[in-house]
Amino acid sequence: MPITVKNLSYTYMKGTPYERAALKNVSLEVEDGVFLGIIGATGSGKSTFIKHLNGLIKLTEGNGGIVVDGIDLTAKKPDLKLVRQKIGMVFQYPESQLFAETVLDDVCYGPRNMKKSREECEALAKEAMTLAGLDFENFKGRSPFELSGGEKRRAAIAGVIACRPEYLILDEPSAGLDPKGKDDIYALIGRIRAVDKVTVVVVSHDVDEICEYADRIAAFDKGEIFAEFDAEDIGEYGRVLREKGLGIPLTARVAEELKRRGIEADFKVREKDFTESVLRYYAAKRAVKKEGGGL
Amino acid sequence: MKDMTFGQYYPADSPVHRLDPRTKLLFVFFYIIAVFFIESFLGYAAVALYIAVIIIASKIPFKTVLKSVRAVIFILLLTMLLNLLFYREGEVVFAFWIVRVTGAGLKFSLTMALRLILLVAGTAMLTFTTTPTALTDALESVLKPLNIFRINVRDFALIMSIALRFIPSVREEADRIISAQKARGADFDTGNIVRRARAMLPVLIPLFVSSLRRADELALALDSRCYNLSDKRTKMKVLRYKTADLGAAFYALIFVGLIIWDRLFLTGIAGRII
Repeated sequence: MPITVKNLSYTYMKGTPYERAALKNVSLEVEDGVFLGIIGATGSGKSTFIKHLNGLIKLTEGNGGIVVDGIDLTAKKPDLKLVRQKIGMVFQYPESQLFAETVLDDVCYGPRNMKKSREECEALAKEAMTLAGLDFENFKGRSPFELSGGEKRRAAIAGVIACRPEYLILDEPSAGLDPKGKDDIYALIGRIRAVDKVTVVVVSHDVDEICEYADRIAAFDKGEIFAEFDAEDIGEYGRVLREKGLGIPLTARVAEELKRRGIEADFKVREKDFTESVLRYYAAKRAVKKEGGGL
Repeated sequence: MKDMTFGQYYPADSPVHRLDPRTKLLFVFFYIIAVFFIESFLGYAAVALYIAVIIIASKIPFKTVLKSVRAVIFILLLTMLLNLLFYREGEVVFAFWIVRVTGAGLKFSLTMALRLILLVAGTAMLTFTTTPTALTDALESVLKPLNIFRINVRDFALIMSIALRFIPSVREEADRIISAQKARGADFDTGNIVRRARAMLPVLIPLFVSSLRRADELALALDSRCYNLSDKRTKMKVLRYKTADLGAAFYALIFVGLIIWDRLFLTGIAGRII
């Protein structure tokens, strides 16, 4: 079942001079199996929004409603443990949550909290670490603090997916990583989606990255969703996205520039698809020319 | 954790906010000592009124000040209880099993509680109306004489301002880690004390790791900006006393009058009767 958010509002430090509206009347539906990207400039409310989804920020009355997989978070005492089991949450710089002596121990933390037996914990950890691209035998006994930056982050994500969530929410999962590290993270997300049919929500301000991987995109500004569209259609939102300090991916910019020079075709947004659509365009053009020459 | 009010700067434009931080610091220092000279209940009522005038002048809502008192309510109740139970002088007014409560004990524990409340309210006024940076500057300036004992006051002030500066950062980091571990099913709210303490380990270890890393980075940043290479440092905001500070000094004198009044008339005559 999907995650449904209706008219959600939230104000930080209400009743003090530091009061600030973080979310204003946000409605969103995250459908099953979808890869949703949430984009927005710093301070646009994206992180506050996702914290609501698993009850880390409590809903107050009259501030809208959230239903996760049929569990109403506005209920008097929602089963937060169950919700947190369903929703895996990877925060910004998740490697800062590593604490145990060994990677295996750390990855087992979630399953242990779910009262799984020792064998079950280890089986779940093995599966999660393999999905995260960490060789189980090699990494299980190592200290999480001696890993490289990218490995640390993947170990932390393994710790979240070891709980076998049905939804995975990641806040800036690739921030501060090198290009290879970024690719590793998104390859990892791809593997989880393929294996478990997990619904994925990624928060980022990197529009290039989001468009490369996400199906749907919701764009935040000043606590509101101002646009929601299929990633493929991002080219149509160029002007409004630039106004909000976000911009559009390189491929869409190239397509825009080509259009300005009179070259118009159905150019795709994802890098590989884009290259192919451009090649297809020129192949078709050449074919037309050849035909013309034959006459 | 975000609702902690004790000691948090409360921005407003008021005469109290505008006072020189040294004035406020010295005033609070003097106030802390002076409160202990008051002994009668009427005297405490007068002190409460005295503080109320400052609160009104500072434009800070009474509710906010009361919240900071609420933060110490546990210590307050504990000291009251201990004073009640272990004060042995005077006539017994209540006895049960091994418990003996004396009239003088009752009066003493009430006095201590009142003192504590007034102390917290008074000192909270300093931090409510003074930014941490201003406070550190004031401390550095006031402690300057210690330089003759070869105590490096400047370093001391820097350490203090760094500590104050990082309280919100560490708190934020702690919030973040708590959220992350909660999302992995951590349970901090059930079980006995030992269980709960153990449950905090996955928060404390990463918090220490990140704090140490932060300290390292900060030391590097200080070094790379040549901190400590020159003896004389100049200030961006130089502290200067103004006429308003003179007014504050006069207000402080009123307290001296209060003590004399309390000592001579209330404790001397009426105080004995109560």
